Amino acid sequence: MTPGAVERELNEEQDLIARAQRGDTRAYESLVRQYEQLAFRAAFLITRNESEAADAAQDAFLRAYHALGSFKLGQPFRPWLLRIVTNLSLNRLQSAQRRTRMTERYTQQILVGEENPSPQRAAEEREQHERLMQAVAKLSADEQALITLRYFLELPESEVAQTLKIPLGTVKSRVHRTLAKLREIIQREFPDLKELTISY
Amino acid sequence: MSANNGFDKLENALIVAGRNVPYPATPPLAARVRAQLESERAQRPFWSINWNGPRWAFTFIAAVLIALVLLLAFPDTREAIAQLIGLRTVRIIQVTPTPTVPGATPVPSATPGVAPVTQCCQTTLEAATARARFKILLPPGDTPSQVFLQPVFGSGNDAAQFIAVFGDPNAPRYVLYQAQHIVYEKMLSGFEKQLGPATVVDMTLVNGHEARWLSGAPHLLVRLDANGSPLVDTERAVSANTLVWEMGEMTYRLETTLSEAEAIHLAESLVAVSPPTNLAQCCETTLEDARARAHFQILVPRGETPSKVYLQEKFLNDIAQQVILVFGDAEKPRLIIYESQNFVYGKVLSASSKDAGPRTLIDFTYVNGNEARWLSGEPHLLVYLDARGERVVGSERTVSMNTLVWETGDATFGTTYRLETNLSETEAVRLAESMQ
Repeated sequence: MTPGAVERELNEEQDLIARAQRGDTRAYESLVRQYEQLAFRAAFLITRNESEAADAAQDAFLRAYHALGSFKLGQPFRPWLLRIVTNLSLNRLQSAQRRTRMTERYTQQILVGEENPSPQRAAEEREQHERLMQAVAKLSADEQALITLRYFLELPESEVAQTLKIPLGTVKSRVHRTLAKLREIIQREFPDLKELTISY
Repeated sequence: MSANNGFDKLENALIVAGRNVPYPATPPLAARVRAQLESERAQRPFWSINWNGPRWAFTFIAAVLIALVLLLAFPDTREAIAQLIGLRTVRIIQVTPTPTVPGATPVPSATPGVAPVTQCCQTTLEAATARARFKILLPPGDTPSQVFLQPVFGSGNDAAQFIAVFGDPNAPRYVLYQAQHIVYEKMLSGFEKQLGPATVVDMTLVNGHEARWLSGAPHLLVRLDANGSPLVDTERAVSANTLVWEMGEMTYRLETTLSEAEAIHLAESLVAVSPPTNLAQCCETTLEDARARAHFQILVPRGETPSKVYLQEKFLNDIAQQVILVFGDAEKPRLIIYESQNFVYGKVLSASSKDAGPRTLIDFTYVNGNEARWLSGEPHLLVYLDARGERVVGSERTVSMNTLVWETGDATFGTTYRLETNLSETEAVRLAESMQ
C-alpha cells in the first residue's frame, strides 16, 4: 500500500470513530468489521477456546463503543482496541483450573486436524507448531499475551508497548525474559523442540 | 514458510506457528455488536445516557436522571440503572432522597475536598508490602504520608484493603484505595437536596480497564458483604472526585481534587512496589541449631563439615527459609550450598542469543533422580523472585562459580538446593548425591 493510501485509510478510520462517538452505530459496525478478525484471533490465542474468544471479542467491541468518549481522535485505534481485547481475554483466564481445562481443549482441538493424512514434512512441521503452542501454554497468562501480540499477531514492539501501555524498553526486557523462560520450558519438557533453543 | 530474518530460531518458529494456528472461523461480530447496540438503544428510556456525548450532556442528563429517580423507586428500574453504569465490584445506584443502610447510624456528612483517613490499621509501607497478598501499586516519584492495611471482615475470605494518603494527612492531595475481594456500592443522589448539583458519572478506561469517574455532588460509599448486602457502619460520604477501576480481582479507588484527565494519567502511571527483604547473609548459627529450626531436611555432603552455617528465616515471605553452608576458608570458600524452601530464584544468563561472545552454558542432568541444571561458563546473575514471580529489586547477585541446582518435592513443599563450586560437573553431581 502506498503512503498516500495508508494515510487515506487512517483518515477514513478516524472519520468512522468520530461518527461512532456521535452515536452512529453503522459507522461503528464498519470499524468492527475492519478489526473483528484480529480481535477474535487475539482473544482465541489467549483464551484457547472458540466460544470464550467470540464472547471476549464481542464484549470488547461493546465496551470499546461505550468508552469511545475517552478515545482521543488522532490516536491509533488498533492498540487501544487490542488492549481491551487482551484485558478481557486475560480476565477469562483468571482461574487456573479453568485455564487448565482450556489448554486441554485447545490441544484436543488441534489434534482433530491431524486426521487428514498429509505429506511427511508438512505433518512434522504441524507437529512442531502444536508442540510449540503447548510449550507457550505453560507460560503465565500475561506472558502468553505478550508472545501472542509480539509473535503470533506479529505486532511491532512499539505497538505491543501501546497495547500493554508499558514503555518500549519494558516490552523488550519482558520479551527477552519470556523467551528465556520459554527456552527453559522447552529444554525441560519438550526435548523434541530443543533444536529451536540452540542459539541460546 | 519463512519469517523475518531479524529474529532468532525460536522467535521465527513462534511466528511461523502463529501463522499456522488453525483458527476457527471468525464469528460475525460486526452484525452481533450492531444488533446489541441497537437493542440497548431500544431498551433505554428517552432520558438515558449517551456515554459518548459531550460532557455537558452528562451533567444535564445525570441531573434529569436523578430527578426522575425520585419517581422511579421501583426495584426493576433501579436494577437497570445500576447495571448500566456499575462495575463488577462497584455497584453504582441512584437512590431515593435519603439513602439509608439497614441498621446504620445517621448518614455521615461530607467534608469538602479529599477527606482525611481516620480508619484503622495504620502501618508502614514496608510492612504493608510485605504483608499484603496483592501487588501494591504506587505512583512513581510520590511517597505516601500515611499507609493503612486493613483486613476486612464480612466481605468474604481474604478481603483486604490498602490505603495510601498523599500530602498533608489532614488535607490530602489524594488518597488511593486498593482492595481485594471487596464489593462496594456507591449511592449517588442522596445528597442532592442538601448540596445542589448531582453526582456526574463518566465511563472511561484506565489502561484499557473499565473505569468510572464520579464528580459533582458527594456520593455515599458503602461496603457490601459476600451476599451483596450493605455492611452496617461502613458507609462514608465521599465529596472528592473519585476515579474507580478494576483490574482482575482488585478494585482501585482514587479520591482526588485532580481533574479527570490528570486522575487517569496518575492511575495509569502506577507501578508495583516490591516487598522489602533482608538480603544480607545474616543469621549465623550452628548446624545443629539450623537442623532443629529448619522446616526441611538440611543435607550435608558425606564427610564434609561446614565452616559456617547461616539460617535465614522469613526470607522474602513469612514462611520462607534459607540455609547457607560454607565449606573451606570463609573468605574464599571452595563450596557453598544454599538450601531453601518457599521462595523462588530467577537466573539471568550472561549472554543473549544475539551476543557472539562466551556465555553461560546450561547442562541438563540429574541428582538422585531429581532434575538438575549445571550452569558453567560465564558468570550468571541470580535474583530472588517474590511470591508473584517478580524480581525483588536489589536481590541481584553475580554468581561466578559453576552452579548445580536441583529440587526435591513439589512446587508447594519442595526444597531447592544450590551448590556453588569450582568442581567439575561430574564431581559436583557425585558430591550432591552424597548429601545426607
